[in-house]
Amino acid sequence: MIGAVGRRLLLAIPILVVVSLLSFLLIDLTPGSPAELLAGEGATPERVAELEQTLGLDQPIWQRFGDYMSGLLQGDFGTSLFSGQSVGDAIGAALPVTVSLIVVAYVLVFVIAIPLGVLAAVRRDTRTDRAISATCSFFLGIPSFVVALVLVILLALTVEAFPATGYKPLADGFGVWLSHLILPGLALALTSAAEVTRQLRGALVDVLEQDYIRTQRAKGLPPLLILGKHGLKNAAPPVLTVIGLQLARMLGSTVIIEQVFAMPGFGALTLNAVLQHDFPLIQGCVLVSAIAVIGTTVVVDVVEAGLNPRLRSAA
Amino acid sequence: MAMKALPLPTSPDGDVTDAVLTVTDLSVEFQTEHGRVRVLDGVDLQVPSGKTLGLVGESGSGKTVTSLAIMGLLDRRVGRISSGSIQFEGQDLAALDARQLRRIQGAKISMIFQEARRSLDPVFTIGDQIAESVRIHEGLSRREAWKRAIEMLQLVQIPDAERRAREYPHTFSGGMCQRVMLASALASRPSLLIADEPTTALDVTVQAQMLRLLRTLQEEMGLAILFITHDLGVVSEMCDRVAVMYAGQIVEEGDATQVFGHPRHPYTEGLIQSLPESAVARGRLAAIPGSVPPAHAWPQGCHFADRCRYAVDACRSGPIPLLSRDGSATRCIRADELSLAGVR
Ligand SMILES: Nc1ncnc2c1ncn2[C@@H]1O[C@H](COP(=O)(O)OP(=O)(O)OP(=O)(O)O)[C@@H](O)[C@H]1O
Ligand SMILES: [Mg+2]
Repeated sequence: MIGAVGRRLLLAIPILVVVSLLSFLLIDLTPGSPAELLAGEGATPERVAELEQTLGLDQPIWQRFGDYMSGLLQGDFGTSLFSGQSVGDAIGAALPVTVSLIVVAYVLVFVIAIPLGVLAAVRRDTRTDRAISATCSFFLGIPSFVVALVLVILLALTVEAFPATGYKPLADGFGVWLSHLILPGLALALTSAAEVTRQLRGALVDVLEQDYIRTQRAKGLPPLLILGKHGLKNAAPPVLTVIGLQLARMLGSTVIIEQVFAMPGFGALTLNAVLQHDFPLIQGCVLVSAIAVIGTTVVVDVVEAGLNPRLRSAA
Repeated sequence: MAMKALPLPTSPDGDVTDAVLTVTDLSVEFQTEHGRVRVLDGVDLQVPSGKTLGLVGESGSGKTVTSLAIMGLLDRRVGRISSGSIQFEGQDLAALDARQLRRIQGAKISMIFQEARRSLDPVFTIGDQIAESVRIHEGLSRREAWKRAIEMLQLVQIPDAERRAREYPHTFSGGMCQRVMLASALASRPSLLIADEPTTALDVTVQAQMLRLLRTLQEEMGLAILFITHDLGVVSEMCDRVAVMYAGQIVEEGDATQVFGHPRHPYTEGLIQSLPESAVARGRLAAIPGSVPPAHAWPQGCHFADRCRYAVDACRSGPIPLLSRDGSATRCIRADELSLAGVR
């Protein structure tokens, strides 16, 4: 088991290297050089060339990549071209905002999707099931920024139940922290919740029709025990995979959601870095995202193996 | 439709034995694409306590539906008991609600199924699966329930029970899975076991071991068994009495040796003649022509008439009652005039 996790983590290293290399190449292929932007409009070509030299942009790409990698090995993510701040510090400042946002979103996904998915499965092919399924299709069909805007109009501007924008750290108090995260968290969560509800319903319907569920009924076990113990444990693996995949989706959505709610988070940081061609910062953001996504897959795999005795004995 | 209950079965010395389960005029309806369809049509059954009743019949005749109805396990969304009573230990199971039924399921009546491996939950250890029902039914502690699980595994002769209790179903063979199912079914010492084709999926030697084990445990525990199968050989080996089912009805019922030696319904005769050994003995394959009609297409009169070589006009004119005589019963109006061939 431990060995399997170790193997997965070792496997992640080449993936991260490839991801870094690809994003390096992509930045290189993008038209417009950061030096031009830095030099400002109307700067002479000489001035731009000089800046490119200071930034090391005149070096061939493989050399720049090599330098970057050796920096990484010493824990140095580089320095932002524009703010002069270290990339590590910039990300470190933005990350708590986004981590808070995603944690709240995940909690909401669980709170919404588990009861709805279970209800739809238990009441399969009834009006309840169809209503839940239709609601899911609706939320899967509309983009999260639209949800965000509607939520702001309804719950922040009209009812004034929650603040419309901004972020307050946890240090300011749990209530204050949470109240700033509910609306963006909800906007982020609804699409994922719809997806997870669907998956859970499908997996659970499958399980509930298995012979071993009939056996549990024949044993005289109460329905809630059958559902909660035998049903959910068997239905969990495919649902966990989908729950894990939501992290990548949410990370992508934070780029827009953090704009809508004016939150100084990781999504906003990434967006600015891209707009400014701030390549060390872009590199850092890509790397952190990749680590988060790969880390989630490893965690999901480990939990799934824990739930499935056949996988466990194979590992 | 048979309105009167069957006479109580009698033991060889003529004493009336009591029945642990008495099913009377049980009808079950399913919601299907053909509308509401009656798949059980007035079923009467009696399982003598401590004895085995075999329930035989072709695929689709309603054996599984009968057992699920008795257990209260019909899928409520599509199927329901539309009439009849299921008397068990002074209660009518057909009239109980789900909560009351749960006190009987797995405690006083247990069931084992054809596909034993698929009937065990793959993600829990077998010890856990046996223990959980005794915890519910008898309120045993975790430790006591686990002890009981191991005792039960030993009772069904699973070697190295303490270790195997901690293993998962996928590490067990089909025959071993059926033993585990049996251990779980008998853990709370039920008085009735319903076995729905428990050996059909097993190979011949494993099947023989399983039947032997069932008989041993039956004697030890005074267990009554409703044994469902379409294998007449197994019935004659296992059962004291036999009920023959065709298209949702019991067509013949009686002492097993009697029914096989002197069948009193043409369908029973057909089943006997479909046995490989009698086919060989007669030098021809005497299978019944055609197959069981689907429930929505059952005829008004005798359900078997269209496949019966003895059928006359009277057979088709209206419902045929189950007529009983001398502790056996037949649903054939020509039973007395026909002389049907039994097992020789
Ligand atoms: N859930 C259901 N919905 C509709 N019809 C059903 C349902 N379950 C069973 N039936 C019908 O009830 C009839 C009896 O089926 P049953 O499974 O009891 O037969 P069986 O005698 O057990 O056959 P087998 O030997 O194949 O197990 C069949 O006609 C079947 O189509
Ligand atoms: Mg069946």
